[in-house]
Parts: sequence; structure tokens; C-alpha cells
Amino acid sequence: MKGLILKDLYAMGSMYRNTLFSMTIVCLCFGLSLGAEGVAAATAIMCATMIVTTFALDERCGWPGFAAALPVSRKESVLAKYAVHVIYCLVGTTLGFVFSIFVNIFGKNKLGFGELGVCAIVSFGISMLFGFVIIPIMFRFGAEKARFIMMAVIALPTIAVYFLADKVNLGGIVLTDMGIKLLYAAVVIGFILIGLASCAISVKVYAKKEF
Amino acid sequence: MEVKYAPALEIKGLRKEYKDFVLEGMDLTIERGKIMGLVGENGAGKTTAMKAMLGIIRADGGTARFFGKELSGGYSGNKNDIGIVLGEVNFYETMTPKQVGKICGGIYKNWDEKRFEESLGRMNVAMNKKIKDFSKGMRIKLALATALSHEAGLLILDEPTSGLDPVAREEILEEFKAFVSEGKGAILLSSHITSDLEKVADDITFLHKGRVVFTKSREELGSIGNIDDIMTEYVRGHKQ
Repeated sequence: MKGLILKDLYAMGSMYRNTLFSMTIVCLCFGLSLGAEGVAAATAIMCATMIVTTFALDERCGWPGFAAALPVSRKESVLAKYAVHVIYCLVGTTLGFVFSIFVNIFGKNKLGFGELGVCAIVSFGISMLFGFVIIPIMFRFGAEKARFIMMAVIALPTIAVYFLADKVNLGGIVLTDMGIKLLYAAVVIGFILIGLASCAISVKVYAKKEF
Repeated sequence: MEVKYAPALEIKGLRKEYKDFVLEGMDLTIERGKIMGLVGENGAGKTTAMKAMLGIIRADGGTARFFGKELSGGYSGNKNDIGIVLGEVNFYETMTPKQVGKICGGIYKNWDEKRFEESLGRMNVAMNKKIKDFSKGMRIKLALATALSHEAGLLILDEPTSGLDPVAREEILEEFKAFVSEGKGAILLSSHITSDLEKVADDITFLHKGRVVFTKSREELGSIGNIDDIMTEYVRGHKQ
């Protein structure tokens, strides 16, 4: 699996500089309006989308067919993609955290260090979730078709979260300490279950692929 | 048969069915130390056969045994014994051969970095140049160096010499001869350039419309005529 991970990290070589440049521009231009939390999330998600590019590069050089003849199982090929996604999400979250500290210094609504930490964790979760949804779609439809689906993948959950958040407010639900702990636990368990389901679906889809 | 003495490749009844094409029960055996040429017109099924035997596409029937062992149930262990070139280098063009070496080191159990560097040096391929700056010949040489550097016993090569100039082709054919010279390695070589096969292949298998027409030794074929003429005559006769 090490070789498969290295392959994606090397293939993206020249694009890291461009992505870092884009992130810096986003922070400089929109940092104050997005706020520290917005910058943390935007940076993490930008890094998370890099996994989509790795699929496009694979297709361009005929890697999937070649990989099917290498001494790596298809399951390993799938798990390597998830491993690369975790790496990109961790890098994105770390960069986002650093950018958010800078934005926090100049912004009006100052956040504490702990709150910035929470922003980073939530950003990591969101960017990982993005991968959990998009990776099986990439394996099923390929990078080109999946790019359009990706837009929906980003838009629909965002709308759903806004809608649900609004409903919670309208209902006047007040969460107790225990309720908040249970909610956290449910979120973590849900996150793990979605991740496992995503891996299982990708393995199943990829096992049937012909190149 | 003991695996130790098994042929490098033994295919029996390999079948793959598409809407408009059927690879019909292909049989093929390549002994160690031999080069088998696979010829046929475009769409005859050469690439389909290679993909089906390697598990790149799912065969609808038949078996492919590599050194006596079948690739089955997602098991990929004995693919360490197979070196492949599928017409081009399949690493992204911003990579360098040095990076390709590191990637292969993480994939092949018996990856030999020193041998890889020596092969590239012998073929005049720069280690730190990006693939996008390579000529077609250089790319193929990189793909070949990759296939030759993990102690593979069998090379499966799909059109490795097409698009190369005569000098580059000659160099690559020499690599093939060296690979089988000790009697351990074997090669399955698909090519449209039949003059290359006449130089290096011990046996030739002719595929037509998904069916094996014949497998003959080079000597046998030589007494009948050249491969191009035999193929052309057969295809014309088959159309009438």
C-alpha cells in the first residue's frame, strides 16, 4: 500500500504549490469576512478536494488498468485512496488552523485558542465526510462525471444542515450537558459508521470494475 | 504437475464475451526460456486476452496459470512474478523515474532499485527528468525497466515496440533476448511489427476474430513464408 500512497502524493507534485497559493489568496481576500472558523473550514475542504484530482490523474495515465495487474489487491487500492485522503485532510486542517490564527489576530470577533482548536476538529470532520461521500462516487463513475456530482455533494448537505439547524432553533430545543455529550457521541459514532460504509461500498464497487 | 517445473504461462479455454466480440476458449502455453509472439489484426483480441489472463477484466471462462499457480479470489501474490507493459508508461507524467522506482519499491516484493537504475542507465534514460519530457521511446524504456527490475519470471508486453525508431526497437529486442537467455524468464509479446517477432520470438500465436488460428514455432513458419504474408492470406481467405 505504501507504493500506492506514494504514487498519489508524487502525482500531485506540482499542484501543491498552486493549492497553497490559492489558499493564501482565499485567506488574504476573504479571511476577515469568512472569519477564523470560515478560513479553517475552507482550507481543510480545499485540501480534501485534492483526492478528486488524484482520480483524474490516474485515469489520464491509464493507472487503474495497470494497477489491476500489479501485486496489490483491489481492496488495497481502495484503502490507499482513503489513506491519501486522510493525509490531505490532516495537512488541510493543520494549514487551516495556522491560517485561522492569523485571521483571528486581525479579525473583529476574536476566538479563543480552544475554540480555534474545535474549529480545526470540525473542519477535519467535514473534509473527511466530503471524502467518505465522494470517493465511492469516484470509483463508480470516474473523475469526469463525478466532478458534477461533487457539486451536489457539497451543496445538498450544506442546505440540509442549515435547514435542520433552523428547525432546532424554531423548536426552542435547549440541550442539557448530558444531551450535548450524547450528541457528541452520536456524531462520532455516526462519523465512524459513515466512514466504514464508504470504504465497504468503494471496495464492492471497485471489485467489479473492468479496465 | 509440480509448480517448480510448470510452464511460465499456461492458458486453457480463456473466454471473454462482449456484445460485439468473443474471445473463444483461448489455449496458450509458454515454457520458461521462450518468447511467444502474439499476432493478429486490430481487434483480433490480443489486448483482451492479455487483460483477461491478468485479471484486468473478468474472464467468462477458462484458467490462466502463472508458474503453475492461478490468479484467483483477489489473490495478487504471484503477480510479483509478472512484469507488464501495456503499450505505454502508466505513471503520471509529472513524475520522474526516481519517483517511479520508489513507488515500485512499495509495490513489488522483490523490487531491485540498483537493477532499475542500471537498466535505465543502459538505456540512456535520465533518473531525474520528468516523464512528460521523455520521447515515446524513452517512456517505453522506462516501462520496460520497471518490468525488468522486480525479478519477474514472465513479461507480458502489449505492443511495446510500436512507435519506436529502428534503433530503439533493436535495443529493446536485445533486452528481451537477454531476459530469456538463462532459460528462466519467458515473454508473451504482442506486436504488429512482425519483423521484430521474426527476430526474437521462438513461437508465434496467430489470433483472428477472438480465435486462435495457430501456434507455430518460428522455424515452422519460416518454411511457409513470413508472418505478414501468412496472416494477410488467412484474413483474405476468411473474408471470402
